[in-house]
Amino acid sequence: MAAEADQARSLSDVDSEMDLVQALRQGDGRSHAQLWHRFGAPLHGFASSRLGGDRGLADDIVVQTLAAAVQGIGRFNSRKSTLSAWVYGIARRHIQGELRRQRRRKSVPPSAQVPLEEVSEAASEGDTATDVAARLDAQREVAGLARVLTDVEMEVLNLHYAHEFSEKEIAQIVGRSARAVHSILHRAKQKARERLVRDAD
Amino acid sequence: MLTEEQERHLQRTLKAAQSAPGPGLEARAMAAMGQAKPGRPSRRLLVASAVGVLALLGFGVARLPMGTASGIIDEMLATAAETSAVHMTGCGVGAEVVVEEWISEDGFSREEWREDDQLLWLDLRSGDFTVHYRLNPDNGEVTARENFIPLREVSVLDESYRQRRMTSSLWPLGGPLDNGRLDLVSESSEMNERGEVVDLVEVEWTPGGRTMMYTYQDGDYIRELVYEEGEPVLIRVEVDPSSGLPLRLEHYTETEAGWQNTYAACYEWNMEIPEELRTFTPPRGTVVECHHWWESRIDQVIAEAATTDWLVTLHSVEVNRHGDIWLSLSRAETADSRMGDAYNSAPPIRVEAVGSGGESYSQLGRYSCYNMGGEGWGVGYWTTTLEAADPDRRPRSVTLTVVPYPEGVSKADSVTFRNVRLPARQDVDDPIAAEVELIEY
Repeated sequence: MAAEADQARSLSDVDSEMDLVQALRQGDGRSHAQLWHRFGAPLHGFASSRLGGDRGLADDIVVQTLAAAVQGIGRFNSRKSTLSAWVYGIARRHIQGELRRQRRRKSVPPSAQVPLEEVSEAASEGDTATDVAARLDAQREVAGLARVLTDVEMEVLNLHYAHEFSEKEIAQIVGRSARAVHSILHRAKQKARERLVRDAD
Repeated sequence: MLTEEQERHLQRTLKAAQSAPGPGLEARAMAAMGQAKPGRPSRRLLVASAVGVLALLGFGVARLPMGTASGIIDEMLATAAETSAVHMTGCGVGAEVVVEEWISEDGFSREEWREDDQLLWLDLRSGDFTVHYRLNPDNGEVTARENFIPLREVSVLDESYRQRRMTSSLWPLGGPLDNGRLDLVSESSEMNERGEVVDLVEVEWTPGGRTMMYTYQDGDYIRELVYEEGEPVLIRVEVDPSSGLPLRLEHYTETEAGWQNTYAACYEWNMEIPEELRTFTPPRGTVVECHHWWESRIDQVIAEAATTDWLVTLHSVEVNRHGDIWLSLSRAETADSRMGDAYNSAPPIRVEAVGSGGESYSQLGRYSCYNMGGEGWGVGYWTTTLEAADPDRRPRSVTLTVVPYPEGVSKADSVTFRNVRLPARQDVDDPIAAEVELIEY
């Protein structure tokens, strides 16, 4: 599964990643479009899931992240992380800032607070009715999962399954050791399993 | 663990739940990227990056020997070591943990870790007692323990220990740096964010090995701030020019997104310790294990004997249901001791025993020991167990030979307590465990 993501990443991916980094460093305007196409949608999904489905906030996070990536590309070091992990790391810091602001107002994790009526309003314009229904079902299930997992467990689980990052990359994104991520992921899977078994019953 | 089918389901669900960006977002993102210029960090990052470059190139960098600092840092540490109390509030940025610590010269200390205002960790030392409280927020499990510590006189007497404690919250600047190298980057006078004119000192610390700034692990629950070997940490210290004491300390590490603040601490010095901090009342329902074994034995003397180097005291003798003997002993260096600083450790105290009827015993490897480092290392309190070779034999007394320090110049320097009367057997396996009291709050 996602644990093999590192190995599965092809050499052409790495080459194209380095080409993109080079183009960004040279200020090539076309590289912005590449950055958007590569990260826009997944970052939106990542931010939205961490921010309780708030599309407006997720939009802001995507914009801030991509602008920060363009600005900070000179400091990207391919020996320390992949471009994806680096960009997600930037996104995560923006998300954490937003969550800290929210925590001052709320005591329950935002992911567990989303009223489903709001989720239904969050459908994208191009979505078909089936797309919306499937997403709503999935979001309802994820919201249930978020009630039994801690924020960091939910985040690591999401990065692992939805974004297919390896434990090493997740460690780079969340700023923990690989050992800690392994432990968090193990615990998150256990809780997810208990939840799945309970739902099946 | 998850089955393959469950894993597939989880992945499908998590992917399907991801929202898609709306149509206006691409234009916004493109505009924001167009306005962002590569390689123009924010003002703060620019300052920090410039400092990093300076340090790497060596221009104007004063090299500090390992474990020392110079100028303002040296004076700051010396001044801090002479203070009567410190209150530190530290925060691992992005790690969600707030650490708060109070230390005073009378031996008191209190350290608390909180996450989202929830107390996860407490270590309190007040008078003769320590209290440890741990909460695993994942499962709500709490462990709480109160210990009687028979070392009050040591912490009062040991000046070097006291000074180290007073600067310990300034780590890695304070205390012995046995790990890496410190390089002074700059010293300047600046106005801080609160409008105070401060001496600003920037030091680059290169860890010599993987270093945990802090780690809290309870079962699978982990919070940690880790610095990797060889990866520089920029430390900025604001020093109050009038008192020479630090007001704030910050750590920065270089990440993919530039220099990032990883830790920040604020300090208050020479304040009064509020009385309510000297005790701890755990949350309602908490069960506290009270280990007060030494409280009732420290002033009790069954026998005492001295060698040139050591004064050995036998405080108590207990016998369990199997005839095993439990001894509580202490050791202190005599005024004429030849030991000096050559043997600054606390090895297990060695005891040989023979019953009045010739019964033999073997000392178990397990023992517990309270011993203080520094100048106070020579004082130590032990409990140790002698296992009876034949549980059915019931000697009236026992002769004990105690070797207070099994290696070095005192190898043959033992004391013997003859015909120590054995008390009646207790109907327990472990007298120490049986004496632990559980108090529910």
